[in-house]
Amino acid sequence: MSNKIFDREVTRRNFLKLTAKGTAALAASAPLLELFRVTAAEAEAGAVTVIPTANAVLVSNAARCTGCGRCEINCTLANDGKAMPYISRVKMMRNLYLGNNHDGKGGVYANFDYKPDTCHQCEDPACMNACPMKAIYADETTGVRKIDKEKCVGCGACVAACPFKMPTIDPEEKKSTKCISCGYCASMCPCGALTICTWEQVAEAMAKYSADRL
Amino acid sequence: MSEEIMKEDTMTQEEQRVADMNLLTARIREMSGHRRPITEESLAKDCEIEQDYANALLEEIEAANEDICAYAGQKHKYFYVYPTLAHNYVRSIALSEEKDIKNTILTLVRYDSKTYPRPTKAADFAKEPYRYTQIQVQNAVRELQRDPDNADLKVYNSKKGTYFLYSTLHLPEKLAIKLAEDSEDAALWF
Amino acid sequence: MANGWTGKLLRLNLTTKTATVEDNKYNEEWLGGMGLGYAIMHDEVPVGTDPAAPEMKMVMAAGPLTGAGAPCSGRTNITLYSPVTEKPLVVDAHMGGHFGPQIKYCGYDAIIIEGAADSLTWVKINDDKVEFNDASEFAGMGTREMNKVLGQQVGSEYTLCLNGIAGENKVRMSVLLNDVNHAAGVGTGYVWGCKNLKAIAIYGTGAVHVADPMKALNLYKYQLTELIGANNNHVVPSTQQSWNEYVSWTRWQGGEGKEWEQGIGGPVPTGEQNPADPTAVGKRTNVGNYFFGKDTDLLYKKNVKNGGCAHCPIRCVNQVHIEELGDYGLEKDVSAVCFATSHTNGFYPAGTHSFTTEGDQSLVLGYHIAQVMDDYGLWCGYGEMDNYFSFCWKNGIFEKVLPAEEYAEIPWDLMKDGDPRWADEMIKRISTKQGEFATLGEGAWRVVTKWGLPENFYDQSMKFILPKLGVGLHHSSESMGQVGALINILFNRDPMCHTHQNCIGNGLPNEVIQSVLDGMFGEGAFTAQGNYTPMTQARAKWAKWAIVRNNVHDMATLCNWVWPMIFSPLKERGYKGDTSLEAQLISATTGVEYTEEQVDFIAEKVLQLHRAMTALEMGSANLRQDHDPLSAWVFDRDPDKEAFTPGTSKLDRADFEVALDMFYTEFGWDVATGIPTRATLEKFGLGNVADELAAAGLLPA
Repeated sequence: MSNKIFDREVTRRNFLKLTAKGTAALAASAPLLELFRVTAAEAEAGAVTVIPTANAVLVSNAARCTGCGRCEINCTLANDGKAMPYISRVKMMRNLYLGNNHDGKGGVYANFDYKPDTCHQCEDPACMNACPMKAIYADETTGVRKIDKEKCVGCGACVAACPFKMPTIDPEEKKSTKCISCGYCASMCPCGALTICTWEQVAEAMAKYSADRL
Repeated sequence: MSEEIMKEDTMTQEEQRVADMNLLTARIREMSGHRRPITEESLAKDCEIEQDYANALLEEIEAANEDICAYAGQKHKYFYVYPTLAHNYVRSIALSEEKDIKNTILTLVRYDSKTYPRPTKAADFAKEPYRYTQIQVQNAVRELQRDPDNADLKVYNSKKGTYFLYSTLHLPEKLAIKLAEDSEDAALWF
Repeated sequence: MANGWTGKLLRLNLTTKTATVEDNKYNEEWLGGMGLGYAIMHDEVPVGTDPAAPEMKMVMAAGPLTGAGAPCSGRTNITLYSPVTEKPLVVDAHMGGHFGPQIKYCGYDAIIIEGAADSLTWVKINDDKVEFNDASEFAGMGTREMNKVLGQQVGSEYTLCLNGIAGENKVRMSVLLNDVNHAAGVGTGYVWGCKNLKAIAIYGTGAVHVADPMKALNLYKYQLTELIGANNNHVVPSTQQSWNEYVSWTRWQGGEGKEWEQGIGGPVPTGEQNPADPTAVGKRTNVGNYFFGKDTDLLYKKNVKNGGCAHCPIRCVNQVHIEELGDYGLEKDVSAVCFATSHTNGFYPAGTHSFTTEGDQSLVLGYHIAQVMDDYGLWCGYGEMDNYFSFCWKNGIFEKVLPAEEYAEIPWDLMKDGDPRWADEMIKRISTKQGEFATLGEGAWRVVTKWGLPENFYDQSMKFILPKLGVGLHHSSESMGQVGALINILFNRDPMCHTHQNCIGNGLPNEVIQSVLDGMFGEGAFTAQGNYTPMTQARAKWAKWAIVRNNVHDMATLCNWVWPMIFSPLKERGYKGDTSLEAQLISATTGVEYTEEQVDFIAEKVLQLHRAMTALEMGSANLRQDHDPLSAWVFDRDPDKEAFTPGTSKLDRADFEVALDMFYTEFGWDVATGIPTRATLEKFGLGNVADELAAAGLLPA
C-alpha cells in the first residue's frame, strides 16, 4: 500500500511543475479542466485562480461567479452558526462592484469580472508566523491551516499580516476566522465558480492526462 | 455416462444464459450512465451475442428489472434505465436516429397537442437532435396531409409569420390559434 | 440575542440630519418587509399626506429572512404613498440587489426616512455610524457614473442605493436603484427627490443570527435540489436533457450547446442542469434569451454571465456585452432583466429596423433603452408610459398639447427611423422636465387629465386595468382568467404578483398544473390559458392564496418571481413542490414556530390594513364601485368570440360580479362595498382601524 502523504506530495509537486508558468498550462489537460470545471479558454485567459494547498486544490473561476454571495452565507452558517459575510472565509462581495482589484476596471459597474477570493493555505503562512499566541497551526493529517480558538485572543495580527487580506476578527466572538478548506462554499455554489478537489482526485486526472498523451 | 454429460451441458447453458443476461444488463446500465440508450442491435454486437437470442434475453431483462425500459422505435428498440434517462429523452434520440421525418412530425405534434396542450413550432424540428430544414418539414407535412389517416394534422401561420403545426385530435382550432398567438406576444410573458 | 430580526429600526431625519435607533416593536406581529412598512405608515403618516412633503415617510424594510441566506432573499420592500395616482395612496415598491441584506448586517430591520434636507444630501451607513454628507458634486449625475464615483469614494464593500436624474428632478415616474439595475418603482425616486436625498451607501459588518443554522442549511439544500426551478419557478427546461420528460419554452434556457459566449476568457458552457446538482442551478435561467432568442439564441451570444440579487441561486439578470451600444455612445456592458428590455415597440410606435443581424432590434434597442432608463432612474410603470406615449403619438395628441415651437424642435424623425438616440432624447426630456413633453413623466392620471385624452382611454388600452385610478396591469385576466383579474383589483399600482403567472408559464402540462392547484384549493381552481371556465369558489380561494402568499414574500423578504414552491422539477415528486417552506424557513431562522397558516394570517392582516387604508385615503365607502372596476377591454376584447369558449382570454361581466362576491367573501369584506367589516378587522387585531373607518363613515354596516 502506498504512503498517502508521500503520494500527495508527489502529486502536489507534479501539479506545481505543470502550472509553474500559470494556469494556462491547464488548458492542455482535458481531465484537469473537467475536474476544475474550467474551460481551456478560461484557463488561458487568466480568469481562474488555482491555489494548491496542503490538502486540496482550490479553484475560483471569475467566468462563472455570478455574484450571489451564497458562498459567504454558507461558509458562516456552516462554520459560525450565523449569516455574517463580514467574517466569511471566502470573500466575494468586496470584488462585486469594483472588480477584483477594487479599481473599477472590473465588477458589475464595468465588465462583470469579479470572483470570490479564497484562502491560499500558504506553505509559509504569514498569518501563522504573525500570531503571537501560536493559535494558527497546520493540521497534522490534512495540513490545513486552522485556528485554535482557545488560544486566539482576537488581536488581529493575522489580519494585518495576510497579504491576501483573508482572515477577519469576528467582532462578536473576538476570534479570528480563516478558511479551513471545509468545502461547503464550493459544494453549494450555484454556478460552480468554486471548486475544491482533493489531491487524490487531481492525481487521477493527471494520470488520465498522461495516459491520453501516450 | 451420457446422462452425466447431458446434465453438465444443461447447467452450463443456464449459467451461460445468466451470464449473458448480466452482460446485457450491465451494458444497458453503463450506457445510461453515459446518457445514451442502446439498441438491441448494438447490444448484441457489443456483447457478442447472437441477435435473436439477445432479443429473447432482453425481453426477460425488461420484465425482471423495473428500472429497465425500452422505447419501441420503428426500426429498433432502445433500452435505457429509468428514471436516469427520461422516456421522452430516449424518444428524441430514437426519432433522430431513425431519421423518419414524417413519423417524427406526427409523433411530436400529436404529443404536444395532447399533453400540454400546445401547437408545435415547425422551427423546433430544425434544432438538435432533429435538424431538419424548414423545406423538408413543409414537404413532409404536405405528404402527411394527403393521407386521410392524418386529417387531424393542421398548419397555422401566425401573425408574425411563424409556421405552427397542431393536431385536432386533441386541440381545437380556435384554441390552437390562441395559444400560438399568445406564445408570440412577449408582453404576456414579462 | 435576536434571531432573524435585529430588533432595531434606523430612523433618518433629513431635516435635522440626525439618525436615531429605536426598538422594532413590530416584529412578531407584522413579521417585516411589507408588514413593517404598512404598520409604520399607518401609525406615523396621516391620510392625505403629500408624498412631496417633509412629513411623508418612506420605510425601506427587510424581513427576518433577509440576509440570513434563504434562497432569493435579497429583496427590500419599500412602503410610501404613491405620487403617481391622483390622491396619495399607500403602495409598496420592491427592490432586489444587495441593499436589504446590508440593512440587516448594519443591525437594523428597516430604515425609516423622514423630513427633507435643505440641500442635496447623501447618507453613509456603516453599522452604527451614520453620516449625512453634501451631495452637490453628484447633482445631475446619472446612476452609472455615480456608482463609479461614489463607489470609489466609499470603497468596494458598500452597496449603493441611488436616485437618478429623474427622481432628483421630482419626476413622479421615477425609481431608486441599487446594484446597477435593481430598481424600485412607483415614484420612490420622487419622494427622495423631494427630500433632497441622492444616495444611501451602506455596508454592515454584523450578523443575521439564525436560531437553527443546520436546519436552515438543510432546508436551503432541500429547496435547491428538489423544489426550485428557474426564474418564475419554471420547472421545465427549454431543452431536452437526459432527465426531463417535458420540454417547453420557459425561462429555464440552459442546456447542452447553450454557452455564455461573451464569458470572461471565452464561452462558458451551461451543460445539463440535473436537479440533483445544486452547483448548476445558476446556469438554468436566461431571461433575455427567453424573450429575444427563440430561434437565434441571441442572448447566449451576448451573455457574459448571469447576475442578480443577494443570495439568490437563480441569477435572472443578464449581464451582456453588446458591441452596437458603443456606436451610440453607451457602455457596451449592460445588466438588465425582463421589462427593462421591453420598450422597443412602446417607445418606437412607428416601427423599428434591424441593426447588425436580422431581428436584433429587440436586443440593441432593448438593452440601449434599459441602460439609459436605469441611468436616469426613470420608471415606465410596467409599460404604462410606453402605452400612453404610443397612444399620444398615434392619435395626434402631441400636435395638440405641445406648444408649436416645442413640437417642432423635438426630433421625431429619430423615432420614426428606429434610432436609439430617440430613446435618449425622450428619456432625457422626461427626466429633466423639459417642456410640456415631460408631462409623460407624471404618470397616466396626470397625462390623461392634463392632455384631455379621451374618456375611454383606459377602457380601450389593454395596458390599463383600473380606470378609476389610472393604474396599469401586471398579469391580469390574461393570466389564469379571473385569478389574475382579481389580483389586479387590489392595489394602488400594478400588483407585482407572480404567484399565479409562475404557474401558467412553468412548462408543465395543464393536467399536472390542474391536479396540483385543484388539489390545493378544490375542483375548479385551475382554468386553462385561452380556454377559461366560469368562476368557482375554489378559484376565489386560489386567487386569495396567490396574493396573500405574495405578501408573505414581501414581508419575509423573498422574491415572488421565484417563490412560492408550488411545483417542482422532479417527476419523482409528481412535480409537486412544498408550500410550507416559507414557514419552515421563518421558524428555523427566528426560532419562533410558525405554521404555513400562521404566516399567511399575518400576510392577510397586512392586506386587510392595506384595504382599509385605501378606503380612508380615497374617502370611499364603496371600493367595489370607486376602486375595483376593471377596464372594459377585459370583457370586450375579441368581439367575435364568447367568453368561456376556446380561443379567447375575455371575461364575462356577470361572471366577474360573481367572482368579486366570492373574492370579497373569502377576505371577509362586505360584498356590496368590498370594504373589510369590523368583525374581519377585529379578527386580525385591527379593531382600531375599524374605529378609524367608522369615524370616517366608511365602515360597512
